[in-house]
Amino acid sequence: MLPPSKESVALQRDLASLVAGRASVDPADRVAYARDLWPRQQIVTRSGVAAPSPPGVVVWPERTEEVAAVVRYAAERAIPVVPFGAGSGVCGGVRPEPRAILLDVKRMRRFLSVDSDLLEADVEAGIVGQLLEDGLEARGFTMGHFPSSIYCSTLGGWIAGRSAGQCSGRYGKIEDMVLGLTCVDGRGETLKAERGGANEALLPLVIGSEGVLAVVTEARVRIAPAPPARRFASYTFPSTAAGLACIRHLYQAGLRPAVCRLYDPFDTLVSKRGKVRPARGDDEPRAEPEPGGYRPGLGLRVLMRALRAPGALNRIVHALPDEALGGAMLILMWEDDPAIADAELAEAARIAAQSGGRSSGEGPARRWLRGRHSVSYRQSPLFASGGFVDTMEVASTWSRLMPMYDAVRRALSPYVFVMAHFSHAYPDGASIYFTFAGSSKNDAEALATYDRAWRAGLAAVVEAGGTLSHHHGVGRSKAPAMRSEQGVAIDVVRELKRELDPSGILNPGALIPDERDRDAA
Amino acid sequence: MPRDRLLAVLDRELPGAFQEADGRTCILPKSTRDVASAIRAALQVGARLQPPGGEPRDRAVPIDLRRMNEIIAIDDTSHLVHVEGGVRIPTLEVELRRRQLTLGIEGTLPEESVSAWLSQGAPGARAREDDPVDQLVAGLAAVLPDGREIDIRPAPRRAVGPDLVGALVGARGRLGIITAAHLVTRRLSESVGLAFRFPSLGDARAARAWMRGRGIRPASSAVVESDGEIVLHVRLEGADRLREASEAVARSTAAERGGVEIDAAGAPPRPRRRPAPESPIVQRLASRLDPTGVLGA
Repeated sequence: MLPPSKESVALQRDLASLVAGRASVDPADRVAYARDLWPRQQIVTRSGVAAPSPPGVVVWPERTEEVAAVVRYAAERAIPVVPFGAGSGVCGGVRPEPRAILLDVKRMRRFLSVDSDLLEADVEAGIVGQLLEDGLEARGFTMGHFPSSIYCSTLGGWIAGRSAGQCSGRYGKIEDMVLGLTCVDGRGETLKAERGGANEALLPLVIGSEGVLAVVTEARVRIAPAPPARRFASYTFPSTAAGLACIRHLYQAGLRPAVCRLYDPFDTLVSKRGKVRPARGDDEPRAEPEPGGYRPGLGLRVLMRALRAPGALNRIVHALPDEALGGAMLILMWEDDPAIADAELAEAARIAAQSGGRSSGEGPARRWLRGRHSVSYRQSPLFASGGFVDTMEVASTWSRLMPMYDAVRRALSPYVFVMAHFSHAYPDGASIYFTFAGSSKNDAEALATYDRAWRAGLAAVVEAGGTLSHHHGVGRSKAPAMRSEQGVAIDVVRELKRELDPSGILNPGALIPDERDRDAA
Repeated sequence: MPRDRLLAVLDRELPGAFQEADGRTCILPKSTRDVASAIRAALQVGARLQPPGGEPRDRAVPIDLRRMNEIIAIDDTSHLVHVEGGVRIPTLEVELRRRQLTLGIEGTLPEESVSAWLSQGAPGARAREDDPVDQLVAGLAAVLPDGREIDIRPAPRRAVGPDLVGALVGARGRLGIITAAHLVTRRLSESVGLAFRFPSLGDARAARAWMRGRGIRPASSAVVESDGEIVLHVRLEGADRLREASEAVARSTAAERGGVEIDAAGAPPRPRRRPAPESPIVQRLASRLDPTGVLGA
């Protein structure tokens, strides 16, 4: 049990008057909001620490004015405020301290307007992604933003972390979709910005700021007509490099397949084995939990054992010729007017053939679409078996991409088993999505291995000229490496924080590295 | 006078770095480090500088990057060009066209340097709305108003906090002087210009939004209101079959909104995009980074 402190109870009384009673110090609420889905924290949780740092109070505002009132109250008393969407971040962006006010914005979920002529929608930022998409679909539109977390992430969270969706190849990332926003800064002042308007420069600064500069409460986003038709294609390439060259040619030729995913040979092998289960009916009985907790099967136990020697496993897999593993698989999907989609499909076939691709038909792309959101939910058995799995999504220009791919795999190999896919492409470069898994004898060793892997991987990214994150953000997991990529730019962000959040109350500890040692030196 | 003291300091620390050009005294740095030295010297003596692309102001000594005019590298694989800030846009475009690349600026090329053009918000460049997957600036180097240098490496997109590239481009030099940039180019290709006359501004804007919504990625588009006539210009490029498909969709979308196709050559010309308006957040951040106003009011 985590009984609230006297200070928290007093704080709750004050805050309740600002948010019509929607404030809680209930231990269950405080535990539920104590963290996000940072895999490192999941190892800690497995070791028996469910909530290392629960907040003092949780509040649920329903309007921008209520957010502003809470932040003003906190600023006057120098109480930390941690904005919270749906908690699906994977970088440790949420880690409140015991005094903190946890600001859950999910009750701010209204559609304020939908302009069907200009294809723009004004929406409150706490809306969960799938509900946003459902609301647009009911009106004949789509936002085109489909992160795999769409069921458990919010519009505001997407904006805070510079999210990317699976259809980024046509619609862009969230920063390409946001036309305007309303936010509350660390003084409790409400700021507005819109593209082409007087305060346009606020957009690139608040988008991606991970709640350390302002709390995003409303956004104007670009929408599109619901796709009248989809087109699918898949190609197999003899190597990852050949597949990447194809993607580069596609995007530089002006083609914009909404989905463009290249799996490296081992990831291709894994994705081919991944089956999509049919949806279970509500009336089907759920399996009873196993007495004594989850027990991994033989296959998983063997895998856990193998993951304790990842260097050998990586060497074996990496030594195999790409073709021996079946090659690299590219899947493509278009969501355009049928005339444009057909033209792009034909042009893509020509470019793929020139790049050495062999058509695998529509099947793999259609299968991917059916299971598009299921992958994130396959990680639980690995954690329950004593292992861990995480992802590192980085980006670079085309000319640096393959060297970075090789360098990061080399850097991670001593610690974890690693594979990769490429799922966000642009004319000038692309993102690499590394997935890595490890296992240790106990949780303390697992944490040490996990930390070593991350340090080595991020250092390799920076050394190879890449950027540390493409769409998961920084949080606490990448903050220590930020200086090595960003240099003096970090100090500009600090100045920006001093201007917008002079009391330093907004989401302290996230994004901006703690450099007290460096500052002291 | 701070200005005279500044020239005296520069004469000592950066010999030959200033001269009379175009009838006025300018600082002519040869490198990012020189720019940083000039700013530090100005801070030291309380002088004011005029950054490239900045708003004109009294008694400020202009920084002219014409000696920083090297095309550092053209990355054909990534369609990127890495240029020093003093390279003039027409010079750069000539060099790019030799390699069948272009910046894709619509209409008459601006005469400014890359630094000045970016500081003004890159007027004439492709609008983000026309292709959300494209971008203009992949990375840049700049000198802050306190003389420190920042270098943002090129990347197609990133999620490492606030986007300082987005803040510096269009900031009129208030947040720093852009000394080099990684610009995204595209392959030269055949293009076709379409123009449609509409009964109202709302119809023209809706037609443009729906063209984009249906998957057309124009090389450029603009709604022009001139002498009571409202015209939507759309320029399409790319492979023949893609361009032809886009043309057909553009025509049907325009017709749905009451648009009538007219001869693009005879249509009212599109105006050049204005420099970005000054942003309150830029002023607030500038007041922190530049409390003495060395680069602006």
